[in-house]
Amino acid sequence: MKHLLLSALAIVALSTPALAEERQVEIAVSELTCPSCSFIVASSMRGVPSVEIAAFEDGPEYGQGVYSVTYDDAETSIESIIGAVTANGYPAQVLPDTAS
Amino acid sequence: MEQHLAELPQSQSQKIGDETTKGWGVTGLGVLGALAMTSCCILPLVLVSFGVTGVFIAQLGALYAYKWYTFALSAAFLGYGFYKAYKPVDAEACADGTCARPIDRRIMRATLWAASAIVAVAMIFPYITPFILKF
Repeated sequence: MKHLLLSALAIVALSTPALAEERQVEIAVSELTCPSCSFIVASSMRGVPSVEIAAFEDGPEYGQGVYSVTYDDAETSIESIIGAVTANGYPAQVLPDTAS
Repeated sequence: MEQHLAELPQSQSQKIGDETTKGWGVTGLGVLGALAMTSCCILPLVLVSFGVTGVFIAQLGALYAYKWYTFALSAAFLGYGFYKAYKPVDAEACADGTCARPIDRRIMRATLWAASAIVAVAMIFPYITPFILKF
């Protein structure tokens, strides 16, 4: 009976995906040259599952912006978020010191 | 003399036809100008909201740099269109009844007003985006 219980617990533990972790990353986007561009990019990011935009700040140069994004690494990846932005023609990259 | 009188209504009719064509042409250009005004900011936002994706979205946004050129062209076309749509019809030209087509002008006027409203919205849109759009 004890072995059966341990086996059942082992099956449950192995079948459960690794615990999802919420991650935060900062993504720099350029060519935000119109008033609605930053909202268009935000909308593209939100189209990726689990992505939420925590903050947005204008970048150091005209047309640049930095998005602070949270996402669940079990549901999506940084590449998917970057891909969603670049698919709409806006160059995007993760700020190196924020990638975790 | 009889021949001259007989030819007059036809030339007047042709003139009115030309005026109508010109009026509609200018109205059409005004509508295109209004659409061009929305193409930089409102149109891509609407397209992305509906799930449309493409590199052209950013390219449309880049048209914002030419906003004042598209506005000048739209305003010129719409202004000339309004002149054509509201210009009093010459009573002499209406003598034969060929200009009694108020529906054409009513549609033209409505189209011009709609295009003007779109241009006005496109012009104020950049100033109201921080209030109506949230991250």
